[in-house]
Amino acid sequence: MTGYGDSEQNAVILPATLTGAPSAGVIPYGGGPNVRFKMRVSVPSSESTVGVRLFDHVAKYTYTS
Amino acid sequence: MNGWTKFYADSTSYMGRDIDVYRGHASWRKSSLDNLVQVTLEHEGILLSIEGPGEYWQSDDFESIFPGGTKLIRRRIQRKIEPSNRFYRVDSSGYERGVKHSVSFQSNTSLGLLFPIRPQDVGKWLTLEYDVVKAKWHHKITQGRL
Repeated sequence: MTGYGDSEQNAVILPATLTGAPSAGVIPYGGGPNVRFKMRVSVPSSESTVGVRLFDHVAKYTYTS
Repeated sequence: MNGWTKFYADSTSYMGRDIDVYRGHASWRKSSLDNLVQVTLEHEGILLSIEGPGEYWQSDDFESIFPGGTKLIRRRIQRKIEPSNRFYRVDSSGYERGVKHSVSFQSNTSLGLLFPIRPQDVGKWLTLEYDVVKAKWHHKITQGRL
């Protein structure tokens, strides 16, 4: 996953659709979905805010039985 | 007894205890959604109730962290607001396992804690929500069912 940062807002353009899940599934009530989103952003050395940012995400979902 | 219960116009009911939902023995969507007159939701000594014939919905919010598992964070019941609904009334009282908070729809002013329903709220959803983490409940009107 790659993108380009905007120098004023630090916005990073990412694909609208992320792929990689092996299949669609059903989450049972109270089940712990094995879902993890990890994102790594590398700031090029040409920028003043050089470095690497790592983000972990919490998946929140609404369930109706 | 954590879970929800549907009450129908013919005086029958359908119970979705958490343990039954977890085992796949009960389902909100797969049981009848027609002719409902009341829905309740019970969680750890809090009983939320919405009364009145109409369209209802129930949902729970979860938060999943990997690794670390999944946590139930919010539960709610909802009823669609109809044109004849002018006010909703909130009553709180004791029941055998704790405190019951119930909402009923009124067409005219009546005694009790009343909240007005604006014309633009018709078609939206009156929502009773229980925050499991904070152990607090509240009522609100939301744009759609959740």
